[in-house]
Amino acid sequence: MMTQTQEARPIFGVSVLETLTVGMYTNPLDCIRELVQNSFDSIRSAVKVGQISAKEGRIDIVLDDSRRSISVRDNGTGIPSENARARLSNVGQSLKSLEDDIGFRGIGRLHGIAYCDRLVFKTSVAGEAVASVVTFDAKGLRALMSPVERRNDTAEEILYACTDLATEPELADEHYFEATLIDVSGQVAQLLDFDEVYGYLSQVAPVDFDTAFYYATKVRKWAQNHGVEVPHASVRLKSTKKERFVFKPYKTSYKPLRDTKTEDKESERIEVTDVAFYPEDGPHCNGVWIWYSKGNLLGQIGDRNASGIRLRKQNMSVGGASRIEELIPEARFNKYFIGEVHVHSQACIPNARRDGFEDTREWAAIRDQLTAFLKEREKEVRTSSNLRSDKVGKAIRGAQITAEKILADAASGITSNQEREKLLRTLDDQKAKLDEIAPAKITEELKAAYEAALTEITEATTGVQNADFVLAQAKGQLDRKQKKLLQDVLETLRDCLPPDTFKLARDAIMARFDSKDPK
Amino acid sequence: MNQNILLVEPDYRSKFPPLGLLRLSTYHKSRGDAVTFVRGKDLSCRNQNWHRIYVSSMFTWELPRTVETIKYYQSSVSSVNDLIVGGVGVSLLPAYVKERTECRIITGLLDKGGELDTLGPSLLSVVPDYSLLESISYPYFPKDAYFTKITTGCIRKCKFCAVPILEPLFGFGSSLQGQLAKVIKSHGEKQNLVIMDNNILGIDDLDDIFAEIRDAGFSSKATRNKRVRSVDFNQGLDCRLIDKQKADLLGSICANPVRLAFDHDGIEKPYRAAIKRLADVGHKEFTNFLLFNFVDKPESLYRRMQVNMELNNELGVAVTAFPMRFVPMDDVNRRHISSGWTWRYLRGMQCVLLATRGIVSPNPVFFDHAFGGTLAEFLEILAMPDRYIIWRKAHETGGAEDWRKLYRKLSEEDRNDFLALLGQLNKSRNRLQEVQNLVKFRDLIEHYYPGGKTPENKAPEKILAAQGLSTGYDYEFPGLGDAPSRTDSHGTVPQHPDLDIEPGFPAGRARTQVSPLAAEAAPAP
Repeated sequence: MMTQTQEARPIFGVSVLETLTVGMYTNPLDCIRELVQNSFDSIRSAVKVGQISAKEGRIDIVLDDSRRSISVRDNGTGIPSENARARLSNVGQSLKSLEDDIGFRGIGRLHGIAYCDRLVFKTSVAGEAVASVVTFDAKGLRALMSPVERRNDTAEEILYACTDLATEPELADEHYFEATLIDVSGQVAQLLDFDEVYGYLSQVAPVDFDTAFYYATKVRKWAQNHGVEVPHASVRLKSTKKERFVFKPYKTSYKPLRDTKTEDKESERIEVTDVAFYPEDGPHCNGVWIWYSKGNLLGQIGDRNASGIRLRKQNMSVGGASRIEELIPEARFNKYFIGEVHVHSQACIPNARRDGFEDTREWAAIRDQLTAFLKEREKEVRTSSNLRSDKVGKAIRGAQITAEKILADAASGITSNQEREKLLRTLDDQKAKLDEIAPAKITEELKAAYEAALTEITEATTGVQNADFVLAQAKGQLDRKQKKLLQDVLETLRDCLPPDTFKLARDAIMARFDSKDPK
Repeated sequence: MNQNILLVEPDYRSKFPPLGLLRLSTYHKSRGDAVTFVRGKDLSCRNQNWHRIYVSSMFTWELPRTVETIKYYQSSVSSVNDLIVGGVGVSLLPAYVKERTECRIITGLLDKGGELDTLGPSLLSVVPDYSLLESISYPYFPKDAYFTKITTGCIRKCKFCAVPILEPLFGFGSSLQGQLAKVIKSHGEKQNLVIMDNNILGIDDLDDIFAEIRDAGFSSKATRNKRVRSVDFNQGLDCRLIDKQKADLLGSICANPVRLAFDHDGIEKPYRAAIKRLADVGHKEFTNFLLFNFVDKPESLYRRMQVNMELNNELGVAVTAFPMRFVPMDDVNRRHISSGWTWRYLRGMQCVLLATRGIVSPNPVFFDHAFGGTLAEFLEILAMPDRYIIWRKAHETGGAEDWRKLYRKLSEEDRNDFLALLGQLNKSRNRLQEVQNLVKFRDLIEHYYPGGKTPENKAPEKILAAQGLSTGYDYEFPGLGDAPSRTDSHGTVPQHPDLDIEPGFPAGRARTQVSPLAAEAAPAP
């Protein structure tokens, strides 16, 4: 590093500035995240002082590809004009609190310098009839910072020379902060690509779940019951063509990553059928709580924006799915799930790049918990996979599915004794298949499933034996001849129609009679 | 809650902006929702979850494509209730969509309020979101115009028209002044004025309405920013109602183009009178819709085209006509052939219109060349093989001459049989065999299907379709799916007043755009 000692006092040379702006982050989109993070903090302060309600907080992001500009604007507190310049151009000196605020280092907002010609901050506070406009000549700064230039100026001098402060009249009531990147470089096309930015924000921004994720209510309720807050803001992304509020990318049905789709058959989808929590009985003082998906675990989830359990602090992401995948030997197992690890321990601090946590004792403890948690998930995946793939597993799963189906059928009634016998025979066959499996072949992982299948077969058998005749519903309305006729009709339908269609037809016919279960 | 709303116009060919969707945009934006507008299938939109998706529909024959679009977005909403389909097509044939998709169908106008959301406003009173048109690169027309509608319904109940079904009651809707004020307030001033009324001349307070039009800056020869302004009654004016007084009113504003319909022979007298009166007050250029394939015969269409030529000649005006093929209200494929027409004649009309770009030019030389100088010539042109019509010059000395010799030999009865046979062969799935088995008409058929096959330089089906002269009758090309098609009018008023009434270039311009047969549009044989 080029630190020079002209005086006794250490000086920060220009390359420090370069490291903190151009050199700091790996993903250009991170510069939008940094601005969103500042906006979110500002909104939360505005809510705290009662300037706006939590519901009114808004972050508007506008991508204008014709002007090649990006702006991020919030309706938070804003910055008073007297210290706008100082607060906006100081580096690494933030007034924010480590505990309450998400950003606190005071470097993120300058990240945009790396990708545009001009970076403009405009802000106003309520009660002041002016807006402060601080403009950074980003292009000039980059030129001066370039190592080729070998400048001797200090970071401060250069930053000062490339910064301009102006004020504009503004309505006294207005309070906002707006950052605009102007003339965004063509080399970072993703910054102006609506879908790219949307996908990124949906993963990192402190936003709510979308309606496509049915278990959102369950997660919210659980959090509420256990007194944990998940703060979120309303973030709207707009381009010249599209406009959307940003939501987390979670849904309940996904294509598998390895899509074996053929012309005529779509591959089976990965379904999320529930969510579970860790620790189950609520976050004690262990510093984290997790929600994660339950489901058929058919494979790795195909949506890269959603797959894998991920870390969040104050509802903003810390690193992607890969951060957590470092904790287990086989990263792929994480991708069978969706979920979030909410770190609420105040002693866990995201690092400057926000791709992980600072290596504190508390984080180390949480990491151990997470490793154990992930091992459990891995086991779940393996069991479910065994049930599908090896011969023994398939037999067990087949028996389970058949038993469940027959039990449900029997509960809705059967048509004849003939049908009863047929169902019983099917169950016997399944039972025989289970009995054939040599005990030695039933691995530890499959043992529980094997026992469960046996029980289900027994239950289904009892169910079929005790099942009522559907025709009993029509009792008293039909004479014997009519009953016989109806029974013949139903049996013929059962023989010639696919099972589901038959059931539809049967239910439609029986609905004409006073059924026990008025549908 | 903040909602993401997607508005979809299926990617059928449409020129006129989808006003229903634009109104929905204003409505949702007023609720604080985020609105995105796309045409057709957009993969990145499909991959998102939307809190509501609205799909518009227009012509019934585009319902297959509309259904495809609805299905495409089916998985992008959480509940079937959030996929909402409305518009003219689905209002006329709700069952077609209902049987094929899972969505919420809204028929008719949303004019009462509360149809979409309890306490929601009447959508007709909502200003269309003009800004939405800037978010899409599709070339809607007209640009820079106010879209207004002063009355609803129509005083007439024409059997070929959808208006009596869609808007059964005729009456005053809302004042022009009020509508313009709202648009100007939210979207600024516009250059031109489109008045989408079905039959505005039927209302009583015309003096007041025309005064409002003039007060809004659209009096005769008006300009704005040094550009000529225009008022377009884009659904046409009812010639039967144009008396001296109404002609004067129309003369007092900058109406352009003046659109009149000449739907059947029965209105020749009032039609002629209307053009004369309008010419007297200074209008020289007219566009004229000619309904055919309804209860008319080709003779009637030719007669009506000739009336226009006579008017041009007598009055020194230029009437550019647009023949519009009738399509029944429940038709989803446009294969309707009325009893007065034959498949061959309809097909022949398509081919002629392909060469003339859909219009009947007021230039007598072009007219005679395209449609024939006499009725007999007209019918003969329609009967010719497609390629002889489209590339007239190239085939004149070769095939066309031989064909004509053979065709002229036929008795009237034989001609009818022959035309019927052509219609049959077009539908046939076993054409080669049938042609080979022919004894009678064998030589003539050879001109249509050389060796029993479709000729190599067959009619350019894609261009036909793109020009709106779609291959609706042609069983050989059932895959209409990817070919955009123009709208066929149902006469005075197309299926929906809000939607495309095409082609709409003013006569003056059209004349320069028209070329004699074998225009640039048609590829060389």
